[in-house]
Amino acid sequence: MAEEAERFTALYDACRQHVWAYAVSRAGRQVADEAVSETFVIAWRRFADIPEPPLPWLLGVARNVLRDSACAQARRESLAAELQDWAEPPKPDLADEVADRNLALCALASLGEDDREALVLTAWHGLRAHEAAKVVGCSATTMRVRLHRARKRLAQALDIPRQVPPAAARVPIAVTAIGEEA
Amino acid sequence: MNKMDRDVMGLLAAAQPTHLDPGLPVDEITRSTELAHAMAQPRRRESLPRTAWRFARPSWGLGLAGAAAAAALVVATTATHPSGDGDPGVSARASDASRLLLAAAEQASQQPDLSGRYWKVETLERHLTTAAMEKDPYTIKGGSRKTQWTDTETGRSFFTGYDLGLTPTGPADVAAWKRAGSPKRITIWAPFGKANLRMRAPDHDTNRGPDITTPEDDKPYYIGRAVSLEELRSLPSDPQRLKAELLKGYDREAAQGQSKDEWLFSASQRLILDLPVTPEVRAATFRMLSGLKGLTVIDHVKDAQGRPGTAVALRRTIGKDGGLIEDRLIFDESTSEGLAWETVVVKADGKWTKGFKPGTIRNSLAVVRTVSTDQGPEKWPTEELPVGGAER
Repeated sequence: MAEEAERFTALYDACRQHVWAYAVSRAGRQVADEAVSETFVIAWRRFADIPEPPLPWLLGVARNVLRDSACAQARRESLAAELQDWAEPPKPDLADEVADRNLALCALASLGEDDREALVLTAWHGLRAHEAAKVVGCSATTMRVRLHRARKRLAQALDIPRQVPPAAARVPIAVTAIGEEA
Repeated sequence: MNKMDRDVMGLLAAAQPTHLDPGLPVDEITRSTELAHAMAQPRRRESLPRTAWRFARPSWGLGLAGAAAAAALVVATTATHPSGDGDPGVSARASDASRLLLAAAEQASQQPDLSGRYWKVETLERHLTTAAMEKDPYTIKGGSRKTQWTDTETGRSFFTGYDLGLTPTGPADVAAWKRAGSPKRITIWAPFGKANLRMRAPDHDTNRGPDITTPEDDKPYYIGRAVSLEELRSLPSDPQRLKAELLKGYDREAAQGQSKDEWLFSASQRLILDLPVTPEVRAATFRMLSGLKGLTVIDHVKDAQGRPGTAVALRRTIGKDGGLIEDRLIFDESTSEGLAWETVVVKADGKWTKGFKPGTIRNSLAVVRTVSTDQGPEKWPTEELPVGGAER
């Protein structure tokens, strides 16, 4: 029915880029498109079951799609490429604000997958802890603990709250920790 | 969260790479392709509603490449006028639909109930759509052939489907398509804008495996809402109670503009056509239909398969400017056996009817065969439905 398609289209328009960004942060650009497409296929089939707000549900589906994705190797490489982008060291001539952003991304890239996921869901997708818990499939309490630890490790990676040296002097964190559990 | 944590989170939020900004618009072609791909899939809880446009080809496991093509959201068969009166403008004889339907109810109540353990239904769905071109547009046909199996002892059910390709509809359409440079990828009008499809020849190899095999579904039947075999078998055989039961699936908002009678007509089609209900429930469905307003009779129609039958028809408009169409339930008057459900263009002045001659069957679902047998399918699918993250 036309209106069904319209409602679905509205859902797509509201959430697609969130789902894509989340997929990229978990698996990189090269596999994100396919995962997003698959996610909305499932969303259409389960349209009647999607709870409000729909985003945590959609991200949860995307997460499963990525996990079940046949080519784990491709996913690892795709993610590594994405994180490599994030972990570009700040250039000396950049404004402080930009340098800070680069550094924050770099620090995020250095964290383990679980930490990164918890932080991305809350900081970039605006989810509350209990909503992020739904995406990941854990309890809200577990998610709060995970978030707390992730924030701590991110702060360590950022070297906060120590007196911040000039951005250029900071050594970018190597990307070796990618994919490992923190 | 303490101050340090807030600072960290603030910094992180500000550091989101610009290409990951959820506020960025989706590229238009990606958008329409993904939407078309998604909506080309069969619904789990509710089968696709049948309207003048709909997405036809279910396509589990197709990659995105095959997927845009799979979005054969389209409509009907070759544009032959189905009613035998030679009037291309779809003339429906406003006759005694009520009398016809009550007679059919009598016939239906005398049919035997299922005799075998398995219920097997073969259907053929065809759809037409138009290329999104200002000049020299042509129409494209697509469709699928499906076999659904139900184990009536356990309620388990699945179906397999074969894609029927996507090709220009008739010789004039082939010519127009060739004038356009015989494009492999074409753009069509879709409910949400435009979508890209890949033209593909039908694969006539009867030995190939099905294009899709659905996993088992606990509610595989659509009666305005998705129901299980148990729910289907326990539907009331009193027409009023049946009507009330069906109306449980009616949602004013979702039905947007459709009257309850229009909605009931469409929602109950499969009870007449191919669902494994008792003869009493089929008879009650005919009786329920006999009480609906606006139904007319068209004698001597031929369905999209070319089979002769009698149709009860109901005209309705699609949304605000979609156009005037006619839904037709075609059955064999002598046995009450269901043949087809078709959606026919009445006036070519709406969004979804433009480019089609009045009388064109845009969508059709033909029941090719129903069998009640003790011989089950060769094998049952084992694939599980993919489940949303929130449920794991």
